[in-house]
Amino acid sequence: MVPVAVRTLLPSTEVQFDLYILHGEGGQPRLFRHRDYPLSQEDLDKLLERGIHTLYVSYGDTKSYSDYLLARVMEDENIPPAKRYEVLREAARAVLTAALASKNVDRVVGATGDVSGQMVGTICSSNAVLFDIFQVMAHDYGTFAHMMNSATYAVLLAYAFGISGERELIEIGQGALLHDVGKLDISQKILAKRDKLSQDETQIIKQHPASGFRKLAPRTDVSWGQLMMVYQHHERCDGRGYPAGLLRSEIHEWARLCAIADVFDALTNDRSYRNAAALDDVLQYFDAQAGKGFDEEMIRCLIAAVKRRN
Amino acid sequence: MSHCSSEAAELARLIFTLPCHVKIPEKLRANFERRGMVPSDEVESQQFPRMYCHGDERRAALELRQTFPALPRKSQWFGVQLADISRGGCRFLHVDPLYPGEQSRLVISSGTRTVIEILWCRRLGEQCFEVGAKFAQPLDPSTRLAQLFGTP
Repeated sequence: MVPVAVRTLLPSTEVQFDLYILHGEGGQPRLFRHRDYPLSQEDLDKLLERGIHTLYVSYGDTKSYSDYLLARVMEDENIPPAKRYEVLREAARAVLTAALASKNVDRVVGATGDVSGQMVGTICSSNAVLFDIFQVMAHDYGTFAHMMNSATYAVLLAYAFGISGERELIEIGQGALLHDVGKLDISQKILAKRDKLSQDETQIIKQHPASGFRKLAPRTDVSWGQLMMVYQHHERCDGRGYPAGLLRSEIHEWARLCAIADVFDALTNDRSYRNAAALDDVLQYFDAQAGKGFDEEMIRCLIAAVKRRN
Repeated sequence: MSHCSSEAAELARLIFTLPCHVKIPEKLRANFERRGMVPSDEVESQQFPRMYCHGDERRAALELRQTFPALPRKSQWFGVQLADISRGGCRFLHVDPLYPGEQSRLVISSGTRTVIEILWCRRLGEQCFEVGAKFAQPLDPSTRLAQLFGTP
């Protein structure tokens, strides 16, 4: 089951997907509304009054739900960029969550390609500003949130850095969506551990860039730049990163972008072992790291992009 | 048999004609001059005893070839330096980074030719990347390794 936010639903005579509600202590899904049955504003209001903000669709219906949301965005040109992005995000959540649950790499790569295309289209067409987007991002921590946030920052940063070709931006977005694909094989017990990781657990975590690379490298639909985002996003310009300990000039440009997007999202979100840092503190950290761990020019672009307001 | 021997001799000659451009950082040089058995605490996991290579044993030839669609590789031979070797795999130095899962051919000084798969790679310095690889098939202990190490 994939969660869908009640606020993303509109009254209609029919929707193209069944809606479920979780019921009882075990949270068993129960059919709330069949796809052929009208959904009224009153139904939606009642749900919110009862404090129910989330319904669910089955994995099989995620594409229909995603299409439904995107159609809403496309039909209304008056939706502001941040709101447009928020809807896109919900659509992406449905598709990516289902793809990740399938553990099928073909499906994950396909879904990330679609989502990246929609994301770049939304960002470029609406001239979205990083700060505005940041405000509407879900700052919870989970696999989907990190994928989506990192990819959004990577695309916005790439754009600010002067990469403006739509094809290239879509590739960067997809590469960033895939950057942690190697973590799919790591148990949640380790990924969500609150205490300090043991040496063995740290070693397991550190293998995710290489295992992600191994997963994707034999494919013909993933480019070298995207593979480097997966393999090199923990490399640091001063050689202190992993897995290879490369220097700046040896790290692919897209991987340097991805490294910044990855850490920016990690620091601005709660993690199992610490709370989110304030945005100003995060920018200060990056400022201090410019030309050391991270690419100096890219950091300047990031700071300028975050400080820019519409 | 004689055909195999002459092929091995030919391959062994190849190794000594290939230039090796690896530059071992001065501070790490002593690490690559050790002899004998590699202590078990220096390797993450090992199925077979592992030996340091020294002298001419260190010379080896690596033939890179394309493994991944997105990484074009022309078939090309490089001189590399073997750091240590076991029946199951080896560690060597190369001028450029290699990537996990890449497959290549390796010829060691005894003339033994084997297919390797790259497991990991890390930068030690300019023009010096340390690479861990496993052999597609464990080496035959009775012949080529015996020649290499002088012991069966």
